[in-house]
Amino acid sequence: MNIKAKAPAPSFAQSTFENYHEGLHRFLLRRLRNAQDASDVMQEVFLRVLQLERTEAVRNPQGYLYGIASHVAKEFRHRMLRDPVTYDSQQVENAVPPTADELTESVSIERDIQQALAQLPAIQLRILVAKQRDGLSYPQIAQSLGLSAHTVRKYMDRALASVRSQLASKGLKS
Amino acid sequence: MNRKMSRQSEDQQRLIERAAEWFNVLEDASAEERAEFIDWIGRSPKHLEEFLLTTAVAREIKRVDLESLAPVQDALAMASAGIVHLPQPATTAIAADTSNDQLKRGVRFTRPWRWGIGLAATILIGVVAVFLVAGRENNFATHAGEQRTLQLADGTVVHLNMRSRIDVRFSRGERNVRLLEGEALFDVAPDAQRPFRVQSGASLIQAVGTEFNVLRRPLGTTVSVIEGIVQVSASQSTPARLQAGEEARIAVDGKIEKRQSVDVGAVAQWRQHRLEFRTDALVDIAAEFNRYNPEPQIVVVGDAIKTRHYSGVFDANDPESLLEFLQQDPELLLQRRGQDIVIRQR
Repeated sequence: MNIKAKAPAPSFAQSTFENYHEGLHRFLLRRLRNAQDASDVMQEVFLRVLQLERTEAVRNPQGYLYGIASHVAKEFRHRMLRDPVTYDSQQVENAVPPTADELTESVSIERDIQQALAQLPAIQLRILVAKQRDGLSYPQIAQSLGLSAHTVRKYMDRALASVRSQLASKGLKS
Repeated sequence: MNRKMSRQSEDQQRLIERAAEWFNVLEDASAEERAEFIDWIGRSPKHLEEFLLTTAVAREIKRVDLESLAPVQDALAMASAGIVHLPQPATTAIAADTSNDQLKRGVRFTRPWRWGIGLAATILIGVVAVFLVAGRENNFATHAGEQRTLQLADGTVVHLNMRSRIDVRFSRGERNVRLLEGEALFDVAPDAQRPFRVQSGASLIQAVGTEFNVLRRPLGTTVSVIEGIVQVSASQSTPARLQAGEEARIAVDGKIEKRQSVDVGAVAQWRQHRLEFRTDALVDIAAEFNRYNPEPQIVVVGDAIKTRHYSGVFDANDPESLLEFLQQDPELLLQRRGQDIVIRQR
């Protein structure tokens, strides 16, 4: 059996998506690390999602969610930009430079994800690789591993959830 | 307490699993599933948040070079040969730097997870147009007896004198500050692309990179330039250019009156709590002292004496010295009223 994956060049839509949502993505990563923060951004996204025309939302849920979340995250960033004070003699304690931890945040999240991935059961890792690196579909993976598509999906769910959980516990500790 | 904690994390765990499920389902979801998903999201902001966080994690996983992970290599090695048939190189070849023998194929695919594909198209046409309505105030104020130094994001330093208030608004093309009350000394960081403007009452002061003081008083604004050049405009006058050592008074009606040769050192004396007046109106002098001292507050009654002019250098923390000085003026009558001093025409 020879399952040949299509190897698509990154499409225009894909690269636009990547660029468009980079800000949101960075916001979410910071959020992963500070789980306790009440988030105005999330509240605002939620409110706007509720106002959505339902049929439109159902047509492309993620597109809508990401669109709205990106907008809101951008708005909040702009607000931050317009908060122009970097030093205030009345709040000297707030004027500390960013910690080394904050500076290496992106490095450390990558490391954390690698560590979390390393702890996944072998079968979940194999599915991840087949999915992600080789671009196989669920039925294709199921077929190649001799599992049901349902089981493959379950493993994918678990893999994603356990990586996410491990990040959550790290975030709470720090 | 403990039970509550574990209950919470159980709920959290269930939510994490649910979000991961949705994430994977959406890859090829039916219309019913998508509708269900929208319902689930709409049920709680927590659902929404967890889903978004999950997408972020998924995206990060996608960025990880899986082949660099030892367990991945083990997992692949353990897979019985021939079952997972890895695809042959097709179009985009990236020189491999992997040192692993089993995985040495010379090619890595960058096949994105499908969840990303196709979203952009909809985003391009389907994004809900949301405009900036955010109008957060960037107000900074000092009380009587309190001075404050701020460094703004562009590097400009603002010394805020007592009982003063500014509003700072920066954008890509402009740096706007409004002096709402009191006095501020600006040491402006040069940025030719973004003019630095201070609005004080009727007057607008524009600078590129310079140091100047703006004093807003009941009867108008005084701008003193310590270094560089600023332009002062007001509705009723042609704009005036001020150089170092020059000063302009802008009346509330917008009339600009330029004065030569200011003692540059004296302008910023307020930072040492020294107040220098040169033919300044009594009401302005009183306002100045009142900024420094919560009490006594000096109240000037009667238009005729409000605009009477005086000159002198005072210790801002010593209003009594001012009162002694004023008592020498036979035109004035000084009366104590509680903690305050009332000055009237005799």
